Amino acid sequence: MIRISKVLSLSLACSTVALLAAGCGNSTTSNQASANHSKVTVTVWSWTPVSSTMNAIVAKIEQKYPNIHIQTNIEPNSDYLIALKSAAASGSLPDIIGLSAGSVTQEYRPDLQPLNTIAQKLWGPGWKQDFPSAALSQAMLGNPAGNTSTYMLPQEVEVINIWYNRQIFQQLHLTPPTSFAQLASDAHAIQKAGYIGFYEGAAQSDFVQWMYMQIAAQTDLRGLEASARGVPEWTQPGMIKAANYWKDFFTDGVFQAGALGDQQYPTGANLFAAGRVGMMSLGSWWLQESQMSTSPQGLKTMQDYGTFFLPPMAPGLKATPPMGGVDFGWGMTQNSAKSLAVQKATEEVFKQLISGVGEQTSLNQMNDLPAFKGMTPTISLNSHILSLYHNYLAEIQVAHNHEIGNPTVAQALVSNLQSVAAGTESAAAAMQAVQKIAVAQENS
Amino acid sequence: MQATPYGHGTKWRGWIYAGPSLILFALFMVFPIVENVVDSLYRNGVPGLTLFNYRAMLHDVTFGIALKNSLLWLVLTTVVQMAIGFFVAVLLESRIRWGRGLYRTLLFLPMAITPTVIAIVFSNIYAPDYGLLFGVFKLLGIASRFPALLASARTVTYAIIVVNVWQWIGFYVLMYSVGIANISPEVLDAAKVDGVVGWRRIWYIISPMVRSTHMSLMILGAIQALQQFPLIYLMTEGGPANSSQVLGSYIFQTGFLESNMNYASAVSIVLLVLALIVAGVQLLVTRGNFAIGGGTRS
Repeated sequence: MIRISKVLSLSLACSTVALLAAGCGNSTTSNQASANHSKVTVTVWSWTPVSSTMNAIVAKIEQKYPNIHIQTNIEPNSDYLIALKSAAASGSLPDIIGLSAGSVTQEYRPDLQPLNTIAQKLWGPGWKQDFPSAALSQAMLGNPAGNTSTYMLPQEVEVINIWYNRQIFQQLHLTPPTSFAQLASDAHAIQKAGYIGFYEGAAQSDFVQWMYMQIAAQTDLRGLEASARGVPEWTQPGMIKAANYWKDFFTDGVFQAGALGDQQYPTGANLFAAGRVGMMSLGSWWLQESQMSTSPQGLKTMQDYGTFFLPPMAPGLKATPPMGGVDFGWGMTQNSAKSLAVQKATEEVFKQLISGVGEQTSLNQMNDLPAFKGMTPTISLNSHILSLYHNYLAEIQVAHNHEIGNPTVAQALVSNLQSVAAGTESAAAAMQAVQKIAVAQENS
Repeated sequence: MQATPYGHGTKWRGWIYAGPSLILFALFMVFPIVENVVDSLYRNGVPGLTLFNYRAMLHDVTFGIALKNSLLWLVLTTVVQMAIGFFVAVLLESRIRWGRGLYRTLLFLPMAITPTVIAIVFSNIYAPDYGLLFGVFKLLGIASRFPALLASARTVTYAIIVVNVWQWIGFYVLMYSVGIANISPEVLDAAKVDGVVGWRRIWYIISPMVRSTHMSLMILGAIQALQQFPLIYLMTEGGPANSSQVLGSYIFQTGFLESNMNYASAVSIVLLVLALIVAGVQLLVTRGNFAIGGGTRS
């Protein structure tokens, strides 16, 4: 009752009523077995993949299982979060929900089924070997101490890195940088030629966080991983140094002017796709652009694009190691266990989404990297795309975590890094502020 | 049945007619507000009633910024939209002889565009290096003076308010146009005969005659300003460093991104109180004299 009121009251009481109510207004279809003509209905909600991909996935699964009808609801992320909250509050969550690792999974943990036994049933006792270890540990990010269950399993994983436009680099006789100094001079040269040297949408939280984490992975990888897990070490010298290096991207004119007000998506990505940007911090998901019918030829073949990891920020440091983890995954709600028929059908759909025709469909659109080992695209790809893809597949197996477990700490990190970039706060003060919030969160 | 001045049973009949609406009102308005107040008195994940969230707000810098920005939005958007809307409407009604409908439609068009599209378009217009506005500065030879409007804490809120004004101005023009069209021609002719023309005609005749429209738009503008969320979220996510945060966006951040629904409830109660104060003051000032589209109804 209290949970119902929390969302209903927040959604309706104040002036954000229209927005929140819009999110809450999605009709929740019954998650019970609807025994219409012996078909079992499984409801699936998510914010990703895009509707067109999801529809293709659903068609394939329904074709494979004619006795299962899948009802989907795909919404933009902000609307999806609101819809999930409302549904959870009213006990009407669908059978399968799309999840990112960490806070979202933890928030719905009480509504989700522990998946260890189910995974063993679906993929055998060695099922953990079927997923990259970074992804599996991210799936459990934020679990209470001693809780070794996983409540979400990834469908797709990602690696973050720097992409560059090979055409622009060739035209200006540049090579992928091996140091920050070279990266800065490359960016300046590109800018001088009329392009944007290094585009950073620093108004978008994820990309601020990821850029910082790529830097901090060079200066204090251990402190970074501990802090991300919830053992705050944000004021370690290496973490402060990383914030200072982050500022250098702005003060040295590496990022475009006004980066703090820019969005990575859609603005930056569109400019990069249009060949107007030299470098950009993205990840393995950029490969999906090769399958977009509207992409220019150089992007369709990816011949114009290449990748590198962030080079050493200073002498004595090493380039950023592979970082990544869960792009998105799925959880099975407690509601799906209310009927044996629905539970069985939900397990089938769940399996197909992660390791069957569902993921294969998604993979053939190069949506991102498959989390389940052994899956490979069955479409024809040129050698360059295949090389990029296989590099990413190798990297995800050894990738370090790229997520921060606590969303309040993540928000604090982003806003303080923005202050550092704007010059209104020193790196040391910013990390002190983050540490203070992280400690308060740890104690709460 | 008890007799009323209007006949037997009228009192009960009134309750029966009003009942369904009252039930819905209680269910969807009163209940959530009460529950929201109760939720705001819990600390996230901790049992027991407490004023923790309200006390925390006093030390929450971001809440302070959000409150200040919400008030800024309230004053600026309402005043600017009303002023521009009124004068454009006067211009349309008194100076434009042909194509008046076309102008109205063109001005109204931005309202039909989704905030997502508007946010993308204006982010590009404002962008340094490649934006439209930058292009104008470049043409004028003052590119080096171009301000990164969305990247600076000093300008970001104003930059988004401009976008909001652009989107809503057509609505204000339309409302004022209807109000001005409802003014009796005899009144305007009489003023003309008495030599009240130009600015004096606008100030002493037209403006008082559309007083009810002023009041209506003031209330609508205030509500719309306090509701603001999509443009801010889409253009800056409340940044940089929370500098463009308003109460609406902060509720979303704390409640849905940071999963602290109790704190978000407390912030929403502050927003509700703020809205009630604004509405109360306006009702006091106007004594309930307002109408959509002008007229002289009291």
